[in-house]
Amino acid sequence: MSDKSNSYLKNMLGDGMATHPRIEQGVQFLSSSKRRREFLKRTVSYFLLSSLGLLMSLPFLWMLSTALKPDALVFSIPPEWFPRPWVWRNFIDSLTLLGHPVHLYVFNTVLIAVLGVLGVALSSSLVAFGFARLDFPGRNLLFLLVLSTMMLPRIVTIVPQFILFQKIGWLDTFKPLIVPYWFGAPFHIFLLRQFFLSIPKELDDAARVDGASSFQIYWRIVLPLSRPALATVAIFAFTYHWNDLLEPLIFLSSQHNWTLALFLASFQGYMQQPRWNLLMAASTILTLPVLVLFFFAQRLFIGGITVTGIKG
Amino acid sequence: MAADSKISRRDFLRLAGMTAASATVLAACAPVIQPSAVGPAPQESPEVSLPKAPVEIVYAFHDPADFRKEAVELFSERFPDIRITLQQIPDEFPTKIFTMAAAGTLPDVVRVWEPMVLDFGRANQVIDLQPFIDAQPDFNAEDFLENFYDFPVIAGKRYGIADGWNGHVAYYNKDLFDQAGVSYPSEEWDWDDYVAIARQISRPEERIWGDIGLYIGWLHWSHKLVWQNGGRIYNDDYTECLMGSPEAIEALQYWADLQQEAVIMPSPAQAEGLGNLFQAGRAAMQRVGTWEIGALAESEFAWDLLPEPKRKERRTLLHTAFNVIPTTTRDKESAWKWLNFIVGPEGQYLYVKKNATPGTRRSVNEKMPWAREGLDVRWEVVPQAGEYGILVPAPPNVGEVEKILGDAVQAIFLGRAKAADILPEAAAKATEALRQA
Amino acid sequence: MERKRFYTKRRLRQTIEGYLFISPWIIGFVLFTAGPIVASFVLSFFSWSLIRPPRLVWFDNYVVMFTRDPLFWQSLRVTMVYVVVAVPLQLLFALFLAILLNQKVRLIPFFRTLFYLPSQVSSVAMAVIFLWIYHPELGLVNDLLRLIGVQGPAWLISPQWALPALIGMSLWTVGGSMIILLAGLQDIPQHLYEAAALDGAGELAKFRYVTLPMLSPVIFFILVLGIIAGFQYFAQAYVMTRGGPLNATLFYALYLYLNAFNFLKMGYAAALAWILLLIIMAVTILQLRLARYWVYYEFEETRR
Repeated sequence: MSDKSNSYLKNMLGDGMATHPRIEQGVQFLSSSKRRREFLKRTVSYFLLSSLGLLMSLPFLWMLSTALKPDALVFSIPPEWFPRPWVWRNFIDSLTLLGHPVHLYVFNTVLIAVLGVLGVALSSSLVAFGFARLDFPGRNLLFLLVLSTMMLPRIVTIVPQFILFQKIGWLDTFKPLIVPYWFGAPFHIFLLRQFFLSIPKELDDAARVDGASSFQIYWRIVLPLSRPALATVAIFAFTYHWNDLLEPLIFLSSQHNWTLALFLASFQGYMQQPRWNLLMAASTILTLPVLVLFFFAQRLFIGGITVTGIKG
Repeated sequence: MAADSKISRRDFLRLAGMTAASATVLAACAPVIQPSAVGPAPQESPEVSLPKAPVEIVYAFHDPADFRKEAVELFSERFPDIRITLQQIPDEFPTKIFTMAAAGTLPDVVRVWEPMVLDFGRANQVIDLQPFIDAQPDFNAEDFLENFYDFPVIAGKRYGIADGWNGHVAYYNKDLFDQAGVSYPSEEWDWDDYVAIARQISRPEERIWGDIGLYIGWLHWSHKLVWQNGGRIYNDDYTECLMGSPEAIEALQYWADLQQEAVIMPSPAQAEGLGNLFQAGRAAMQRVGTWEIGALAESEFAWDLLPEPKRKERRTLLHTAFNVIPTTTRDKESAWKWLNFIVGPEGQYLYVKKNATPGTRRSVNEKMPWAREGLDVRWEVVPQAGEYGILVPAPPNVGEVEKILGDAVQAIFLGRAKAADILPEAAAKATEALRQA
Repeated sequence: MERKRFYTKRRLRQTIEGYLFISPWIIGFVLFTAGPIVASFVLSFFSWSLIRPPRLVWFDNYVVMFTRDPLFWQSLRVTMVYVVVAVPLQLLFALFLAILLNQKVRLIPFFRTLFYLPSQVSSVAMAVIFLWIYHPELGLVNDLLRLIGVQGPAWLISPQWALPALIGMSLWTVGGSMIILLAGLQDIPQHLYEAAALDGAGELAKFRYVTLPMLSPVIFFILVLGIIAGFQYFAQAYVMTRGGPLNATLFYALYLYLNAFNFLKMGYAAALAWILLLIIMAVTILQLRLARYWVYYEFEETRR
């Protein structure tokens, strides 16, 4: 019998056992009461998971339902959750109707995202290692400087940055969207620093006694132990590049250089009614790759190899 | 005192670049440095003689590039030595345009909105097109609707030329009229007629209303109410805001009261988030731009168009965009050729037909580019708006001025303040902001 | 002495190595970030409309901000409320979700994706759905309130309730923090729990004495970044309320954006940005100081 059905039976029959504990052998009581608690815990968990999950996925479900609606039903009152009829064509129309070279946008976005992710993960981990596991004068001040670059709103640096990239001839190329990230991004540096700090110091000491250099410690010990953190950085960086509108909008111009986020933005023309169902269909399509990636990659960054057992 | 604290834009950019210690370092090792980097000071760019190789003209705008593909093809046949590159800016249009302007790298021809054309003109960012027009024998300026043609002119300098436009009209749902046994309205209706009809049709308890309600966050929408009541928002040279006038106060309060009463239209709370009640078949009438026609093409109910009801005057709101040539454009002759083509009879027709709007040329409108096949509505209502309507105003310091007015109108429409109490003060503040510029 | 020489030599080596490790960031900072940051600081002493030459006004922008601009104070107030209320709420909610998702039950990968979903839904889609959720008559929230006999407010068009509505809505976007916390939870060695259990610790004690300290570096991260992001929040307000009604959701960063690209007062926007930087900096330094008392690092030596 499986654990689950066992505890289920215990739960059904178990009232008596709980009210008259002395009848039972101590050990038996302990295990059955534990199982019962476990069962209760599970029931509550599933209840919470499903109800909260439903609540949290409402926006997505709404997006999906709007994506499948015919034009006339988009604004029905009161709002309807189920499209009548289901217009699957919207998904195709949303990509083809305005004659956009969407395949180019996909290529551009993937290229920017992949190069950005690789660069930012590698560089940020180097920098984070320096901040987390080496001691040097000026470290804390420099770290504060790293953080402070996040404290100034982008709005006021975007024009000077535009002028800078114009001067070096980088406008309308992917360089402004990729190269700066190869020098580490504060968010990821900070995140990795926090994870690196939770790896026990004894590992470094032992390695140093064996004559390992700092780079070897970084490469052979800290990085392999930080795979979950690195994967987290990767998914964050990927979704950032995938969704970011501001940088492509400002730094790119030619349509053949567009990213998917720009394509999505083009649905809301000024002086025209946006076609909400097509907009939502395109949004859904763009969300799916991230979700699929997340679903399959989560093993890497959650519940993957952790530092468990190193100390033991 | 201002004179010596002023530094030229060029100096400033150099300064900005310098402080970007980075820029100098990078510029040294960068393979390609854009020659137009800082751009010549606006006045002194000499006309470049036409080179043999095809010239590239970049045309920037906000709406779909697809609307212009045919025009580009036709133009390329006529002018094989000029290559047109379309550059759609799909979102945050002002952010991108002003960033490019700040860096002195505006595209060769730009299609900008009403306040921008005058702002750019006042700031000497775009050139006077009048000399080019004068040198173009077949231009035929009389063909243009005066409303649009005369708008972007300051002190005899014409900074832009409009192509397509949209005007606000009244829409009514014939089915809801029939159900309520109300006869269809006539062109000569006024506000009181409109409200009387709406009262006959409204059944608020069933969520059926006569009107969709006021657009609370949309300042320009409220302008037309003031105009219809004989008021104006600003004086002609934009040195004074007139929103404190009795006409403006009366107009806004008239509709705000109706909205608070929530019988002929939903209250702000009821309308919030419901989308367009007219499209949903829940409101018998709405007063909004002709772009809504597209969304109604496949509606399940019968509907028709009328001019908006008047009060003291027949007025409505018009939207358009102007094609301009920035002062930084290198080959202004070629840029003009393209601009002249897209505002000319052929180019303009190709664009407005695709966009289903009227054009600014009377000859283009004879072909009724806004009419959609299979729809039986009074199409003549659409272009008429261009004759009696007023364009979105373009005061200096427009952002701040409209923030002041917008906040006041919002408070009135939400029932938080009486127009008579706050409009005079808001108008005074707006006047101050106008003069600050 | 021998020992001391060894120590200083090691220190020197660590210093060189440290700077080598962080050099990518230093180079990137000098090349791409420092220039625009300094430029924005210089700009804050200018009046610049973006389309006209800038004019040096010295401290005018700062003086106007503190003496003649009621919207500056209003936006600061709105943002403060958001940071004080929303950031802790988001952290608690994310922690709650992470713990919920850190169980070994079936379908957990599915549930994790489900909870991560809303942070990936486009802000426009979020806006449309929440306009309906908050609808005074037809909306879900007021339906629920009606069940317990409360007549809900007009949420997004009510000057009192629009900000709370946006704060509530922000809870849907904690997916990112949830993931980081989850990764942190997974990083806690099981043997610590086993040891605690042997000592007779209950669930609550385990949470208090194992989970929280071991998770503190991650919580600290989320708190610091949450506050930095909270002070700059405006995306959803921009899409949904445009700062209204009656400036009730005029966030600081939204007001800054309006100044930069709507009012074309880039110099003033830059001044606003630098005041914001000072505020965030002060709060962050305070957090870094306080961290010594509650953040626990395995790698202790380097903490002073």
